[in-house]
Amino acid sequence: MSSETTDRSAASPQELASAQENALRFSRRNLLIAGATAAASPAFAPGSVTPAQAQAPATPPQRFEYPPNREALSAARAKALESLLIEKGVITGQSVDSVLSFFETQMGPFNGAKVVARAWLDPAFKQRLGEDTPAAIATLDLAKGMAGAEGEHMRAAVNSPTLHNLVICTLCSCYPWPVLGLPPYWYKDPTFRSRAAREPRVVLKEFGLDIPPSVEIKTWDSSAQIRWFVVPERPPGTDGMSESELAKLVTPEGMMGVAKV
Amino acid sequence: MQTNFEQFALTSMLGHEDSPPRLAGKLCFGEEWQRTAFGIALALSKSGYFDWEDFRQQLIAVIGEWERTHDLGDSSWNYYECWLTALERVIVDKALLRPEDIAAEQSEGDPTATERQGAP
Repeated sequence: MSSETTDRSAASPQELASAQENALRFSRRNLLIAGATAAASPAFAPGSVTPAQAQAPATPPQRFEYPPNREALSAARAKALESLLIEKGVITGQSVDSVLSFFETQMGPFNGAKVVARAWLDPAFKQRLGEDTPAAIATLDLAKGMAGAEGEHMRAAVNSPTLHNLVICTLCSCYPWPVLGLPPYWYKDPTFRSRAAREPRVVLKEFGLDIPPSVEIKTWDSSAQIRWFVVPERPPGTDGMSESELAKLVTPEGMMGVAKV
Repeated sequence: MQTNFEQFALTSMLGHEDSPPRLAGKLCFGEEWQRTAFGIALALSKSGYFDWEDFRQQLIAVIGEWERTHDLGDSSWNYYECWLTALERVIVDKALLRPEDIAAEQSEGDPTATERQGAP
C-alpha cells in the first residue's frame, strides 16, 4: 500500500519529552499496523501510544547509529543557514518571522473557534451562519482571505439537540484549514471516509461519541465546491463565559463532528 | 485560486508524502530549529529564489532516500531533518550559498559538527 510511506511524523522517543511532542511519534505505518478499522478509532487521538511504540526500545538499535547529539547538529545546521542568508542579504529575519506568524496567528483552527464561539453567544449570528455562511463569517474580524479562496464556499452544519453533523472530505486539498486547522492524518484515510458515510453512528461510537438513537446523524462530504464545518453544541456549565473563553474550548475535532466540545 | 503564498505552499503538501507534522490543527515543531527551517524555506520561495515545487520535489526525494535506507517503523524518523537536508540542497543548487561557507558557519555554531559530517 503506497500510503504506508506517507505522512509520517518527526523525531525519536528519547528526544521527545512533553505530551505535545508525543503526538509526533506515531508513524503512518503504525496507524496502519493497528488495524483496518483503526482509522476511525479514538486510539489515534494526539498523544496516544500504539502497541508498536509501547514496545519500541528505549535507545535506537545500533545499526542506525545516529550522532549522539543529533538535535544540536540539526540546530547548528539550521542556524548556519539562517545566519548566512541574513548576513548575505538574501532574506531578513523579519521575512522568516512574517511567514511563521501567518501560520501561528492568522490562519488556523482559532478562526473556526471564533466563529463557533460567536454562534454560541449570538443566536442571530448562528442562524445567519447556517443560512449564508460566508456572509456571516465576513462580519467577524478574521484575517483577510477567510471569506475568499479556501473559505469561499464554506457551509456551516449546525448541531442541535436532535441533529448531529459529521463532515468527511474526499481530497485534502479541499480541507478549509485556514478556518479549521490542518487535517489529522486519519482524515483522508479511505477506510474512515467510506465507513463514516456508511455507518456514521458506529464510527462515532468508536471515537467515543455515543449519539443516542433519537438524534439524527447527517454526514456531509466536503468537495472543491462546498467545504463543510460543524458548529457543535455549546457545552453545559459554560454560562457566563466570554467569547474568547468559549473559543478556547472549541477543537478541530468538534468542528469535524467527530467529538463534542 | 489561492489568496497568498503561505496558504498555497502548505495546501500543496497536504495529503502528500511531504505533508508536515501537525497537532490539533496546527503545525507542530518539536524543536525551535524545525520552526526556523520551515520559516526559511517558505521565506526564500516567497521571495522568488526558487519555485515551491522545486523545494517540494527535493524534500520528497530526501524522504525517499530515508525510506530506502530505513525500516518504515524506525523511531529515529525525523521529518524536519529531511526538510533541512532538502533546504540545504536547494540553497546550494540555486547558488544562494556555497557549501564550504555553510560547513564553516556550522562548525562555528557547533564545534563538533564538522567531524560528524560524514555520519548518516
